[in-house]
Amino acid sequence: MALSIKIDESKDTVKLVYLHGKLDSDTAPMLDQQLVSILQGNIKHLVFDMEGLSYISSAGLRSIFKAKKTIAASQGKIHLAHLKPHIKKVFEIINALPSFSVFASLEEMDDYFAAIQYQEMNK
Amino acid sequence: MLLRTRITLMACACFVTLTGLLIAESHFSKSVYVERIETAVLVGARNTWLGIVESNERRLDRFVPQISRDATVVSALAAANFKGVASALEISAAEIKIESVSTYLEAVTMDGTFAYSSVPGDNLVEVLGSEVVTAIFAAGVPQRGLVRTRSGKYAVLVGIPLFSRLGPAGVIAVYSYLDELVSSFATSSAAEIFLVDENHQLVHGSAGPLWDDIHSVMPSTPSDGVFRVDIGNNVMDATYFNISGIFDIPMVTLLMVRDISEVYWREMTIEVLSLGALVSGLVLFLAFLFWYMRVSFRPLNTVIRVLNRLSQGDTSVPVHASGSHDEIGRLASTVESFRHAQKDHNQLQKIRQDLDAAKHIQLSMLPHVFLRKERFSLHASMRAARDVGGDFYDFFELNDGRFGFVIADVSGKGMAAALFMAIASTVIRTTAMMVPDPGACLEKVNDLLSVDNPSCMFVTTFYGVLDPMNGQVVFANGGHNPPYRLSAVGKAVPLELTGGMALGLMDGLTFAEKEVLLEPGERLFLYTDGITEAFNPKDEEYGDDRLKEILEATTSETADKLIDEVIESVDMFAADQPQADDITCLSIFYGYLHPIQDTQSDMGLRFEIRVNNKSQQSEWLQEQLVVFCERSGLSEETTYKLNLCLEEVFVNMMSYGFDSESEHEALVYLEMQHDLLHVDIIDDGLPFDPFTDAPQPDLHSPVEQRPIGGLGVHLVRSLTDSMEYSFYNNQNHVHLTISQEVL
Repeated sequence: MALSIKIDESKDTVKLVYLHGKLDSDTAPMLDQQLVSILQGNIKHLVFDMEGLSYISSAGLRSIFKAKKTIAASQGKIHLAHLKPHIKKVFEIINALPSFSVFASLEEMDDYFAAIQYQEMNK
Repeated sequence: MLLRTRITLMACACFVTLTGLLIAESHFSKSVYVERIETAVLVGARNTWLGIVESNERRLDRFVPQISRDATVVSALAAANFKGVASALEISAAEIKIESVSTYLEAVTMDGTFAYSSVPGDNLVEVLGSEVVTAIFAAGVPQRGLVRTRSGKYAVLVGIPLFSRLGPAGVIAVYSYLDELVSSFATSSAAEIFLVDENHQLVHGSAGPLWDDIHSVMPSTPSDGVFRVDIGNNVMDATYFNISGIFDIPMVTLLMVRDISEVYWREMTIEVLSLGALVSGLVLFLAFLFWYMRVSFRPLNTVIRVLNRLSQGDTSVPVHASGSHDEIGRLASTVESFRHAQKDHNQLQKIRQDLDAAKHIQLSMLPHVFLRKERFSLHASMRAARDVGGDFYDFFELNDGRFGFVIADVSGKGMAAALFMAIASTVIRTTAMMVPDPGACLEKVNDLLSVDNPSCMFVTTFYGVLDPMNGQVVFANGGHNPPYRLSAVGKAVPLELTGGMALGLMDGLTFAEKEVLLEPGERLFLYTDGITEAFNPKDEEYGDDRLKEILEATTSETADKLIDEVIESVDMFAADQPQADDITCLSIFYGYLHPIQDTQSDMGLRFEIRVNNKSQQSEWLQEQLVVFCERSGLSEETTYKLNLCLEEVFVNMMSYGFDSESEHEALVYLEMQHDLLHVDIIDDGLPFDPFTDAPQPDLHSPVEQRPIGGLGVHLVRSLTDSMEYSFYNNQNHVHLTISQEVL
């Protein structure tokens, strides 16, 4: 089972990346490649929806860390949603979770972005 | 009652009965004989008496013609002229007087009046009473017989009737007194004679004690017979018979008493003596019979006692040989044989129990938990020819992490060999702990065994030490069959000899060492000559060639299976031929290269996956992993951990160990032991220890500030229970264990 990547680019500043399958040393280069184009724009929020992700290895982590590094340069943020327990544990082991905002559900995420939009509109 | 007593009593009864019958018979015969004798005596006496009487009558008869023809006497009597009668009878009277026996004449007239008597005296009728005269006249001819006289005596007379022309004239009697006849009879019969009248009054014979005794025992109505009279020590036989008078009526009884003391006492003595002889014979016979029975039955008593003891399981009481060959003697010797057999049987049984115990102890001395280590496995087997054997094997971990293994064969078999084996194995094991080098160890062991070994027992010993990290085997051989080394491609080559002698023969020997380096997949097979010297029914030897053949042809994948295969082959070869020698073997499988995909071993599920860097095989690896996880029933979490660890290790291996130009191969072994998953990853890449050579990850900075690298190793470290790296045989070896959490 390889990895399938779906990117929702309907919003300007918030991009959603749906990951499905396994993110390992075989599939991580594919994700890296896709992210390069997305991160070229002025992106403030990149969301990885991991509902369909069954596996992640250090190579996959490294892809996400790389994205984080890139987006951090432009004050952007990376959000992780729908982490399965195994996946979450891997992030915990390397003490990575504090660097991300993690959503347990889509509603939580929607509320979050609604709040951001509201803040920006009131600036 | 004892049989012996019964037989004795029966014999006794027979004897007594027989003796009684004999005595009765002799008594009866004797009484018949006595009766005959008595009859003969009686008849003889009576005949003698009658002879005397007859001769007397004949004597008296001589006067009859002379007197009866004398007409003078007749006429004188008829005329009652008594003077005429007397003168007429004068001549006859004179003649009668000169007779040997006193004989007298008496004459009476027809009416019984006294006419004449030759006895001068009172002129009274003496013998011719009226009844006698009447009877004589009635007869008309001269009558003879016994009469009682007027004076109370008895006389024998011839009465002659005389007739005149006118009729009866008178009677003249010629007579003698009975006393004289009796005296004559007494003289001829040499016995004492008594005459008794019908009233039992003695009429002749001397009255005295003898008569009194006779009188008291005399039959009351005697006719004739014999009776016995005891007077003091004298024994008399009294023979008696009646004597009739002139009118044929018994008048007197004559008793002839004879002294038979001498004969009687002789007879009695003989009787008493023979009875005594009989009784003492009987007593002697019984004593002898009793003694004989006792002696004859003594073995039987012993036999009974021994059989009783045997029935209680006691075989210690012997049956002493009686030496006789009769039924009892044969029985005794049979029982003795039986007792010996029983005793032998008991002893055998005891030995059997001892041997069973010894066998149990000996088997328990041999290690039975065999080795299945990461880098090698070891199995061994020992089967004794008898209950206890002289072979043994042993293996143990040395202090430096190496493993020692021993196979040995003690000279001889049975209990002695087993005892020596116990000593030898203990000495080798303890020495090996202190002296790690095989050669030096065997030297020390040899010195120890050679001391106080008067029976010169020895043990051929092969002792090797395996270093599991690199496959190095250092060994020394003390006169044992060289073990076979089996290469991965199935070539069997014996290990080189080291020139050592069997242990225990003499001290001070040295043992050279040699060494070999086992490649993964190579095996060692150690054995004793019980295998090569097994014989089949055709008396052919199993031999080295057959062993080599089976070793080279084997497809056994584990050490225990190889041993089973070899022993089965030997058993098939030997068929029903009994095992002559102990059969012992030990095999070591070195390395991981088992030609298996998966096998359900007793240790758990085992899996081998081979990966090549040139062909794209990661997907195949994935599929194999799925199969393994399903079969092992791994939890989702453990499956995740396994996948992650394998990927991280492989990534490191690929990036650091493999140069992309050349072809490399990696092997993954997965084995589930209880709830612990063992993962072995072996590759032939450059030496690289991921756990020390990989960088330490930064876990505290925000991820965007962290340097790249070290994450994977950190994940592996966090997810596994243990991890280990080693490099040997030009291979990287990574060993991980992951515990399967039991929910």
